[in-house]
Amino acid sequence: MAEKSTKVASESQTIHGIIIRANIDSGSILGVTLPKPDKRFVLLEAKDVIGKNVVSVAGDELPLFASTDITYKGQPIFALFGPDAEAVEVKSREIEIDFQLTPTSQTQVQEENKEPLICAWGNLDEAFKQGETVIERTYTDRQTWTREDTILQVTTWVEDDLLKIEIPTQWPFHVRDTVAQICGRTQKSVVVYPQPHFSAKDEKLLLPSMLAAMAALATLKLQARVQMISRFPTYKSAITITRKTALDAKGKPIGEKVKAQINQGAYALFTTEMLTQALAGLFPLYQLSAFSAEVQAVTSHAPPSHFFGDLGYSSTLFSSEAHASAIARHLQMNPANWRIKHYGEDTEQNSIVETLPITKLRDLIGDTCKKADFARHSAVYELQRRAKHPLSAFLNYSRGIGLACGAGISGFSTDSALHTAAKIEITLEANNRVIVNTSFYPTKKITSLWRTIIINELSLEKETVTFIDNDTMHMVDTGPEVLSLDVERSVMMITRCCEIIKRKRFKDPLPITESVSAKSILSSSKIQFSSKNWGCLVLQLEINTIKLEVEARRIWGRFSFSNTPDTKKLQVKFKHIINSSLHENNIIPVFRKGSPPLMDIEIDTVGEQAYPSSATSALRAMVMAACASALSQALNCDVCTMPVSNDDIISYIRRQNEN
Amino acid sequence: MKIECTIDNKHILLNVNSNKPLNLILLEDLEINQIYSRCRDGNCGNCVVLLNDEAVLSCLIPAFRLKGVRILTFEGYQKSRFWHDLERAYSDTGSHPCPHCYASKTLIFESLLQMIIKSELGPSQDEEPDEEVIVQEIGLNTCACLDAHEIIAIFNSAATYRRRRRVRRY
Amino acid sequence: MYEGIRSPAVHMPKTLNDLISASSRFPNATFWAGGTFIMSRNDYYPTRESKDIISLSGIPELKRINRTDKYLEMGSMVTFEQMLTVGKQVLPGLLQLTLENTATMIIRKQMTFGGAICTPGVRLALSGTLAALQAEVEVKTSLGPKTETQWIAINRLYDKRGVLELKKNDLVTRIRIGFERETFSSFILAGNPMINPNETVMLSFACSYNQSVINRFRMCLTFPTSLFLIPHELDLMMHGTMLPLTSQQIERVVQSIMEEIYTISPHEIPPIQTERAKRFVESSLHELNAQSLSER
Repeated sequence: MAEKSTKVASESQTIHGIIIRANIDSGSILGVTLPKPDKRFVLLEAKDVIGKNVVSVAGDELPLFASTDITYKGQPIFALFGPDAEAVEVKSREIEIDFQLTPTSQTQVQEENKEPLICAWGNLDEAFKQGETVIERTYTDRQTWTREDTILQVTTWVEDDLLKIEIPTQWPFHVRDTVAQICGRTQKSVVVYPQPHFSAKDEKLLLPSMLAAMAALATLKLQARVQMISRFPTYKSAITITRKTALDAKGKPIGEKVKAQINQGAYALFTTEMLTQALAGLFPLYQLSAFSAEVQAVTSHAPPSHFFGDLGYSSTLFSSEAHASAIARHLQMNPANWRIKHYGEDTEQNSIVETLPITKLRDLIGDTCKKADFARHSAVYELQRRAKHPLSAFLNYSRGIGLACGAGISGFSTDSALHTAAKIEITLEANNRVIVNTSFYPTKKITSLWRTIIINELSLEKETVTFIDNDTMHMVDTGPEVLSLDVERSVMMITRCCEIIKRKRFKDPLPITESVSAKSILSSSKIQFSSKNWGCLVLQLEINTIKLEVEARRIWGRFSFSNTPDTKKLQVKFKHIINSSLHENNIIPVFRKGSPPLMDIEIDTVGEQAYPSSATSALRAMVMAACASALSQALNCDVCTMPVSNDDIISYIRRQNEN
Repeated sequence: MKIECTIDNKHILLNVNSNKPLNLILLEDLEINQIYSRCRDGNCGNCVVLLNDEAVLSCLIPAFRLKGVRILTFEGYQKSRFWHDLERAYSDTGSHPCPHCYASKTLIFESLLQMIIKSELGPSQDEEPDEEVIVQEIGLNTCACLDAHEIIAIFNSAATYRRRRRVRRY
Repeated sequence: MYEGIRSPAVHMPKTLNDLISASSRFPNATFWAGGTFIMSRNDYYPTRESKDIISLSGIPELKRINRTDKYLEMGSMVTFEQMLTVGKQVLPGLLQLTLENTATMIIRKQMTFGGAICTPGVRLALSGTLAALQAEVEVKTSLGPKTETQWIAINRLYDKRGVLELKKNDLVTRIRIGFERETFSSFILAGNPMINPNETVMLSFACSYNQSVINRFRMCLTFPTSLFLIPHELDLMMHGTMLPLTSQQIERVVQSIMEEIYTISPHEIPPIQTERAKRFVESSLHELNAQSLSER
């Protein structure tokens, strides 16, 4: 064994920390039994916070440490620090916390948080009176979470009276501000060095700020270098959407009422923007004389959830597309033909989301269905479904094919307050050297896109463009790195910067530094989102009736962008997203030797716009909706909840057997 | 326990608990941060390293097994000439693993490519992996970013470069 | 080496006698085979109470694969991958399929037969397959100065819930399988016993028939944490039955197995496991029928 030291820290020693979290959903702390006093370990809790025990997030707040009340499972209660990681982990197991649980009936209660966001037009009552048929479905995008694997590591230390932090983060300035607030320091005295990260599900948005704050407190208290590791999942909000549609005698939708409820967990964060993004996905693409959509956020005793690759748009778009297929199925029509017949331009919807012409989408639907031989497959599977073959172990499979489409959006809505801080700065120096300053972490993929824009705008050589890779003292704040903002908004800001520099070049002396804020490039119109792409996806799947597993067989996708993307890179990205989305929804792509490739993805361009756009959240929605439709066909019942679980499949099978 | 081994071509003397897993040794004692996850149950497949040229999950290798072994992490592997075969394969096929599992999947590919060398040195061709084996092996890493056809295309492309490299040597 | 955390002593015996001696001297030590199961436990490291380790990797007798007139014998430290490579020509198809489906090659190079059979708390696919093949294991028990050795049928290692019934000083040293090959075999696995044991089901089925008459019928159904079922009555019931089986006969077999499941595990079994079990049994009997018909 190593020699024991009696002090916690010496000058050269790094102290290791661990977070001790609640293991109940809701309750209060009755008492804490600490292990035998040991000078080598230090416990930090709410009362040790120098400033306020609060993490502020865009006007909302959540506590750093729980004081007496526990509001969700996994809520931090203490942080324990000791001489090494092993000792701290073993010591943490000796801490006993007695909880008083909240009665079960109370934990189920969901509290409505803010006023619902409502958008409506026409006379719904009239529309429902005129309607021949009413179709009502409730769609659920369940709460899911990332695996508890990804390591988040922070290192903090004090140097030259500055509190320094090394951490991977999507929002370096939020880390700085949170640490400053909690440690009672000025923002200038806290310096953050952002590290490489890959956060497909926004795992590094707020957790780094909380971890850094705890480590910083320990650094200040112990006057030592501190390292903390945390592994805590990131959660997606559960969203439930009820859609009620009135159809006329010919099966045309005339009125629809939609109600969506978003469960944000214990603390409602980014609620306003989440409601707006969710609302954008609720508008169906078929024309309606009357429509009403209401989105409400609620809180409950679950871990806080907000950003998860997107902010609710994919869940609500899933419901819109799944509902369109459900209507087509009800009318015993081919879902593709139904869409081509009924999807049209809608001025009311376009006031929220401005899309490319709908004719392009119809073309995409036609192309994709032709490639996938959708009509024939759908007809065959419909016959199988109607023949009412039970999902027997003798036949050993049941197949379905589903279609979904949609417009991709990215970034915040036009009215969002989250645009406030965002800035990008570009400096043109002597010898045509350009330095780009942004707090977005420079990855190879995104910097090559920015570099191309700058080289084209300013007619430069490739090697002369560099990106700031420093710390919050030298960076400008570009805001949280979410929703593909690095692809869309940042490019617009960089282009604007270059335009201003071009005007001043050869007139003003070098270096020329220009910065552009996000607000300055926002559209002055009332349209909240501008979509520059359409997508259509067909998915064929099979239920293995022996193992009761859902297997993906083939996927066809056609996408149109108004700009000219790097098609090869985008295809790779789309394939990644489709593969990941299938797995998230418990659908396994099965490999059979000699079988054709799983995916057939094509991307084309309809315009020559320079600004790129993102379709990632729409793509997730399309995968979910197409899966739900295909499963409905394969299981001969309405599948409205994703991800589908084994228990769902059993209950669908048993329901079918009863019928 | 004192253990001598070679990590990334550096001779190292470790002084760690005999049962400490290799992934924690790399992360905590040697501060090699290429390993981004620690799943605690050997099921994420994201901690792959090469141990004597064979891919292993570093979370399943205890310290006492490291005596005299040669370990190559992704950081060390990138400095070797073999890395270029896979880099070119990714570029040629237009497919590549996502940043989360890039290191791990690349090392599993390398381990499979090593089987080609061994099968060409040995008496039988039987050791060369077939498509289902390749897909199954890459599936050890549970990140679902690549599908089976992409995996096979990457492997076949890298194998072509690897065979050319062997031919050039002779 | 860390403050307050004991570094376990690692003993590396070189012969079986050294191993038996070490196990007597350190009765609380952990036997370490491949280490894949031990190290995949949530609370594996770090722990304050680290037991000593007796590593089995240095004992050549435990790594031998031997073929006698009647049996194929393998040492308990033979890895899955070694068995697939070396024993390819002689392995029963059912065993080959089970080994290939248990894990990837990377893990198979570390997983050992002995380790896979003796996992506490979780039953892996190998146990069921060896039971279906009527394999036997050599168990050495250290009784002070004496060592008792006996060969026992593998199904006697577990109770009906799959709990390992070896005593503390028992050691599995060899496993043997007879050369009698089944005419039909089936291995079906859904789920992963290490990731989602409450949803995983494994079925190993070996059947021999001659001129469409069944003479051996051996099935083993495993739920990793709650069931290890070898319905012995089925062998008697099906012995002498003509193939193909009728739908009533299939239904009877399925019902018999389901009744046994509910008798052994009266507490609530997840519906996915019971449904899968039912379908696996049905499907394998349909496959048996298909094979027997195709041979006519």
